[in-house]
Amino acid sequence: MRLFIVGLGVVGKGVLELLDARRAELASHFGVETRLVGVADSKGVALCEDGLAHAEVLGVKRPGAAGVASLPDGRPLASQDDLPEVIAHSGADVLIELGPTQMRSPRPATDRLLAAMGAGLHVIGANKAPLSTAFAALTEAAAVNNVLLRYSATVGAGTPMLTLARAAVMGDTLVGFRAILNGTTNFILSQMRSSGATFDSALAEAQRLGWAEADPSNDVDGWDTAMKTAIIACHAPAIPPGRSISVHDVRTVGIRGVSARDHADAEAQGQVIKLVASFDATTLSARVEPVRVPIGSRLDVPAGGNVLLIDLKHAGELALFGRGAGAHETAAAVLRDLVDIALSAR
Amino acid sequence: MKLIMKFGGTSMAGSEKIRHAASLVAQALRQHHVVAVVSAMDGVTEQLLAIADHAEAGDRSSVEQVLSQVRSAHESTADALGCLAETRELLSRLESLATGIMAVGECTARSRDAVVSFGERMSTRFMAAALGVACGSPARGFDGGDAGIVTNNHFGEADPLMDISLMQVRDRLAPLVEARTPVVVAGFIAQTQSGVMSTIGRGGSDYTATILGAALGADEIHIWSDVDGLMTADPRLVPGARLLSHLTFAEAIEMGKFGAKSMHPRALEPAAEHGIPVRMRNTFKPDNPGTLIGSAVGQPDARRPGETAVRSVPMLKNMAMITVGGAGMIGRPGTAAALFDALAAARINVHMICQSVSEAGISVVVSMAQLDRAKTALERSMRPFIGTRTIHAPATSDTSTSAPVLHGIDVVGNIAIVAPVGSGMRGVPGVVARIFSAVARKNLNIIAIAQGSSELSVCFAVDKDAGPEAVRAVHEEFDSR
Repeated sequence: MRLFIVGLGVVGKGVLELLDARRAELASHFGVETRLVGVADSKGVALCEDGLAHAEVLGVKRPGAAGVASLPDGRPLASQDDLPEVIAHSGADVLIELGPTQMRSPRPATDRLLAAMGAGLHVIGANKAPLSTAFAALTEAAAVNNVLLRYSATVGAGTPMLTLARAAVMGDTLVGFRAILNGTTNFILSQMRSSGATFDSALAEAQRLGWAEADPSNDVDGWDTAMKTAIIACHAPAIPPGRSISVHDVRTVGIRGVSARDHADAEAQGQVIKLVASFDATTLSARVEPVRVPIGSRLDVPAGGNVLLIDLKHAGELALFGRGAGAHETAAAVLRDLVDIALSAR
Repeated sequence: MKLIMKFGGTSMAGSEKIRHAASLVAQALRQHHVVAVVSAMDGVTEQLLAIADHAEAGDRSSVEQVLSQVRSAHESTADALGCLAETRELLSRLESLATGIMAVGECTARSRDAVVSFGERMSTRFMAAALGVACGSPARGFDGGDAGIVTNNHFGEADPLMDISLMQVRDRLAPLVEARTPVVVAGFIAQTQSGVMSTIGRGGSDYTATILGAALGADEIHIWSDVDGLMTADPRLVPGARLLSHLTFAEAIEMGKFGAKSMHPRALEPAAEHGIPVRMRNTFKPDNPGTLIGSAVGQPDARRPGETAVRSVPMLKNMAMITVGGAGMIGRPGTAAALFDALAAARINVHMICQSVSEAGISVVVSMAQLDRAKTALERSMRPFIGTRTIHAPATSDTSTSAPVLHGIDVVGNIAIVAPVGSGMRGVPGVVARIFSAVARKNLNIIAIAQGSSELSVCFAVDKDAGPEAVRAVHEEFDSR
């Protein structure tokens, strides 16, 4: 399969590394052989029908290096708006979209996915912004162009939460789901609880350790969790046909307002504060907010953990725990989608 | 309120009418958030199709003749509205396109769409210019594709990719509408996923209007034309025909199927699905409320006295009925599939279908214009079921003299379909009996009857001369309103 990768941050690099590391296994177990015919980062694009060497691509993405445009087959890109056209004519079979998640401007990534599918490429999205704002449009594009759209890396990284959600809904009636889906907030809340720190100092500590980004808003204001909640609800599907739910339909409250005092109060009652996503299948309402949960309960997951609890009418509650983030975890999810596409498209 | 205001060809016929339409939009913009949608000037789409046809045939003089008519009408309008330069540029692109078609001697559906699109594109410039003056601030004009409507590649009759279109329209127009920027969108035209101009065929600019309405969450969609609204019957047939003040979507969709001067059912779908009322209004009598089509507005309770179970009595004329019969069809799976596959392959539009329980015959009603094509298609494909015999009935509906069809293809030409419509018919015993008693009292013969399970309409076929009388009889019986 000829691949085009957009975005060479930690996940993009992780995908190339995993493709190299698992090359023999992918070929022997699944008959999947890949060739990288195109890559793009924020400043440039490189195309080569015969395949770009992964090592060279990784080389130009080292700190201080000049990026994709400096590759022998590379060139600068005047505008990101040109990228959809480049992808559509790249001759690739699969687009792997790993661009930055920009919830307030999801259009560039959405346009890349639509252009790729319009040109007959299968697509793998790890970017939550398009899936959580334009799910219906993207699935329509996949259907009319008879291509596959996969996005399992958007939720739970290496933990196949979307797969579980769909499998559960296929056989039973969904009552609702609850989940903890964001590692950064989980870490900050754990820090505040264990050390009695304020939100600000816990955030600073998280940033120092690489748990939180310089601009932490996406995580601490709950948007990352809200996007994932919308994607789970659309994918399962937890909503009736013809209805859609976007991140903007999720009532979202972040953790900035949680104080050390709140933690102490919760602790006194045998509880702990977590940023919980919840979806009620009766009212079709979704929310993300700090909630007190009993210490030791299923939602009381450790700092690096994610959990999805699915409540079914007959089967009761199902739970899936796993590590929710990390470059290689997410890259593994991308490879999972790639193998899935290769097997499904046969 | 958020409004979509769509103006048809008669509202766009010349600079004065366009200024008037623009003044209606400008007036609405003072209180509401508005998007205007425009059709081509009256008759221009037909002229553009003629240009495509003549160009394909290599008939240069006819191309030039029609082109000069199009040019003069548009240049004079553009001159009056102050958008001559951009209009001339579009006209010269149209001319190049026609020359190109003549050069290759072939007009693909894709090229035809490109030719036809110029009507709406020029109208959009006109409305934008007039609206800019009326509002005192410049208006933004969009082709349907630029506004975000995306279709598949079925040029000439492309289907919008609805979810993608709704998202893109919302993205591109909502901020402008929110800011009360005057926005004009060309109806009927869209673009494919790869950005090639396409047209959405049936439903045309009305369809554009309802898609925009659904995308932007409009409160109402106004369809402006030169009629007051929908009528209980064609006033030329029924002197006592009345304007309908309101209808349900289901009734309006049913009426549209029967050729009433309603909107195309396809165009009503996005509005019905998103529960957005559609109001049909007269551009030249803007104080009239028109006809409101809504989810459940004014649904009459037909069980009360003075009922109006039948709201409207549309009629389709110039129809023909083809009956395919033969004992070989009885109990044989696949007969109906073969019949309808053959008609579909020949692109025949079937207006009505009847089949008796015995399965010995299926009747379909098609337009007289498509009759020959339909008959040829059926003769070829139905041979395995019915043998080779065709009964060439005279083009008359005098069925009293011909024997019932046992075997073969029978044609009855020149019939009319009458289709009483009303949601009050649903679940009410006796409505059908009243319809047919009323027709029988006029001594009119009914050739065939069909009723779908929706119970929103009953349709029956009569001789073309009996059609108007049958319409009057049913209209009178139910005092439709």
